[in-house]
Amino acid sequence: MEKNKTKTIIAIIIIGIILVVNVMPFLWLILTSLKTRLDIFAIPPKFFFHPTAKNFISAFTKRHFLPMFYNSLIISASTTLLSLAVGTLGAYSLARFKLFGDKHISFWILSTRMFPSIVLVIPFFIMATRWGLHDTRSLLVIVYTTFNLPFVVWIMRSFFEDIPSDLEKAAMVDGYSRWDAFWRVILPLSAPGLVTTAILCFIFSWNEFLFANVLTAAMAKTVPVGIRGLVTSRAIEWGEIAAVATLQVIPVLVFTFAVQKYIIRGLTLGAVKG
Amino acid sequence: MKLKSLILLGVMILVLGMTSIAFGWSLEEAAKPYAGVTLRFITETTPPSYWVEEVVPEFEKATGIKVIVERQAHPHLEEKALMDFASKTGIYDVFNFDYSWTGKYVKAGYIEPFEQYMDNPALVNPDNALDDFYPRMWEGTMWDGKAYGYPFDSVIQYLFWNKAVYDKYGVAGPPKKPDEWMDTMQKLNHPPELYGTGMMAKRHLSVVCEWLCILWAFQGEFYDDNYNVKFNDENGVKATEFYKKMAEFAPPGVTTWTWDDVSTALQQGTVAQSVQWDENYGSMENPEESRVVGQMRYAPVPSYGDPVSHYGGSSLGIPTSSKNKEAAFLFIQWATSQDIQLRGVGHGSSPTRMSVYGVQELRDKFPSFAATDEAAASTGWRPRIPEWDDMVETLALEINSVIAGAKDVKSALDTSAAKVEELLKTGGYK
Amino acid sequence: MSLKKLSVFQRFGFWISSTETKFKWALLLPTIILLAIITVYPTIYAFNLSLSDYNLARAADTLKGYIGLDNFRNILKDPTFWSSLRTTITFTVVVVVVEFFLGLCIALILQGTVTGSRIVRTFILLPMIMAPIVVGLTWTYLYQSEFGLVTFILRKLHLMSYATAPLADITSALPALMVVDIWQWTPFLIMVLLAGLEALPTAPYEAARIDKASPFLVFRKITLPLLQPVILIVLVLRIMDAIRVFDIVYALTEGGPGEATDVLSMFIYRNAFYLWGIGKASAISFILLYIIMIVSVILVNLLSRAKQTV
Repeated sequence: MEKNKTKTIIAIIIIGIILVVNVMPFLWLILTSLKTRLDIFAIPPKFFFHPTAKNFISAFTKRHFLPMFYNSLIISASTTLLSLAVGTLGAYSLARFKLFGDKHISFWILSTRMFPSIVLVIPFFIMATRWGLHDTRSLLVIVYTTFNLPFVVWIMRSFFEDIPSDLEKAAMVDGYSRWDAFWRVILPLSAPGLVTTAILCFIFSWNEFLFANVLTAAMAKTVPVGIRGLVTSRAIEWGEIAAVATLQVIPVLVFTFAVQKYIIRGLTLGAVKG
Repeated sequence: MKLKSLILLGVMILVLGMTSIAFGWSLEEAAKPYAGVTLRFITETTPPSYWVEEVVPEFEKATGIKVIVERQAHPHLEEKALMDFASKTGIYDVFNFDYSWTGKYVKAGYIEPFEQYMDNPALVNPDNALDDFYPRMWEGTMWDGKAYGYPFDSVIQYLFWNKAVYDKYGVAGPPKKPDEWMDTMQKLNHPPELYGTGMMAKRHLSVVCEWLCILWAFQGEFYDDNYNVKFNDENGVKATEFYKKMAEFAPPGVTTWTWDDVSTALQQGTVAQSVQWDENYGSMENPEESRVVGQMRYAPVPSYGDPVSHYGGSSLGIPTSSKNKEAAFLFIQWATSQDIQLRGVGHGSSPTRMSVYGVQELRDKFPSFAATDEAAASTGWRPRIPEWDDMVETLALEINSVIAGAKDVKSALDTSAAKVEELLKTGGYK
Repeated sequence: MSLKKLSVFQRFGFWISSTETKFKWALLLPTIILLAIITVYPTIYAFNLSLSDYNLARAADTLKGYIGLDNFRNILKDPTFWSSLRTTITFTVVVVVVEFFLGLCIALILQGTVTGSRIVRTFILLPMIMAPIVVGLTWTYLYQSEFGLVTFILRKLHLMSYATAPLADITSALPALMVVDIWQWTPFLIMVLLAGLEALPTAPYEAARIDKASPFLVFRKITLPLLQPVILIVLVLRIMDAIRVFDIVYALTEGGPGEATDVLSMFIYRNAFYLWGIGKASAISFILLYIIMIVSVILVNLLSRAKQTV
């Protein structure tokens, strides 16, 4: 019993330390977003100061971040929907049926997830410039699907494998077609998986930087690119960067809180059940 | 008889028409066909860009043409610009290009020759005196005898030294020779409040620019007229050893500093002196940002030969992919006009016109004016060939490594020299 | 009942199996086709580019066009490439090893105890759900030479002198970068290993307790082997991500000072978008792809073998 108590206390202390280490930078970011320029450049760094909303205001009035948030939203939502629609079907197929070469197909799908973005960025850039797709939202939607689609397939497959296949057989006996068995019976049961996957795809797209930096310029610019764009050597506008970054992270935090239960499963591509 | 009078009539109408155009030119009239257009101006994060952005509402009011100013630091300026030009997306209409890039962009077909606009009476402001631009700066916009822009900012690099700090420690300034200069750095080095010198030693174009000044100060050369690489000879080694020694009297972090960081350090009084671009004179005198108002003085870079300074000026040009070229020309003409440059003195403007530097009042108020005026005629140029980028890449790496203490001078210079030789060979210069 | 079902299936056996085939392929083909178009085509395109000397900053008539394997030959002769490769390997090995050991130790300690409410878990995961570019910029700010909070603390603890700053010094830049990655991903390892530990069967541990086996023996002979699949999964994912790291490098150092943090992705990016050597950059990116393919094949093989033994 005593062993357990000391272990629990140690565990709580460790969790406390982890929380401090993990949250501190973000907390510092939030504090910075509320500081005036003088306070930001203060040496030694200040913890107590008079807060101001100036950074948030100027981010939207002077730096025009609202269209960027809109772009990020549309692009992330679109690629998520596309990947989910196509990938879920493929995942079901791989989960339920024996296919010719399905091991190789699975491996190939997994390998596209491992592709370094930098390899694809260059050809996409050249192709986009040649076909006039540079700086369009549709381009980013397609490009993001390169990593979202395989992701959806792998996670949904794991979720589908968890649902006993007897359910389809029972449904079909009751007169359901194969498609109906899938659409009306299995899919609703895999709802947690769908939601988790959708949210993770959204988060990946919302946070993506490299492709967006190269493939957008003015019209389709997303928030991560805009934030980086505030770094213009001469007295970097840390206040505004902190303000927009805070706003950018909040939806992600909210979503993570929502799918917390399945997030480990999602991030290990279905291999480890959290 | 009838034919003669007809011809006479025709000539009269022609002359009347031309003179009416000449007398009747106004920005408002000229801009009428382009009202409602939005121009996107991509430029460096330099003081003149801030000034232009400040007065742009005047242009917008007079013409109905909206101008969005987008600032990017080196090398992101080219990153964004080239992405646009290569993809012909047509996002940018006005492009602030460094004189050393002219050849590169012209050869790739990315910027417009200006003849067609300078010959167009509907667009050209007859009061705009082109010979008012410093000849050397005008040359910077040219390639193969054609002009591709109007000179926008005069950026010349020389020594900024803080007289108040010099006086405080009883040091006579400004230093005239490199050994004197090193001496002042040593005497004025009192860390951590004050350092003998700043350096823009980041692995970046900045370290190459500053190093070039030192190279020339030691009478070194980059390459000679036959494109034989010279910077790793005796003088080059001495110069680079000197540059390396400067770091002993410079603040921490100079290996990550570009000219912007040097500007901040000079403004805060953290460094007693530094090689810096003259366009920063205004920020030295700005009481809202600077702690050294009235203290800065300007001199050529101390040298064993002729006075040394380094030209880094830029011009405003029009990308070939732009969709609003005529409107862009009107803007460029306005932004580089005598009026705008004159009014901007002290607010960031770094004029390229001799008349502005001639104004005695301004010369008295801004000590840098005299220095720039003198330097403009003899200022040193860096190579303008397209291969320069790759040369900067290797030099920035090697010299930054020397300053950071990772490499010794001779091997760093030899490595770069070999690469530069190769580039010159493959470029067909040798 | 079941007999009836069987006979129904048997009767329509042949018909069902052929519609089954149509069905299963109908579901899978959209995925395969879409994925093929958006990954296979660009990859072939990139390979084509790698065989040319295409450069966006040069006029078309100064370029040679097809130059075969010249790009690859030149890159393999270039010392900056090898140094970039070394930096990438150093980075990957160090961060993955540190993250793994930290993650494992903490997971072992936390095993069987309370892991906290949803809010606690969300904030533990915070570093890895933040956009990497935001993480990079936040840490750039923390490492800032004059007013950075972390720099300030390091100096107060006499771990860093006033004469230098974490990102400016050639010896501290890469470690500083590694700290950011470790900060970002250790929570991931903690959570995954913890989940793995908690999913382990209790029977072997009961047997060990009865046999009065020492904790170390228990760990080595029971925990570690049973945990192998989870460990491998997490190592595969982390190694792949570490080799490809870009956003934080771009935000913190852009490869400098000197070549200290010039990982392969940054090296490629610079060649492509600062120097506009598209052909050369494509070639380097193919070398990176090749490295990743080799590493992934090795690791996935280890993974499937581990799955079999368990």
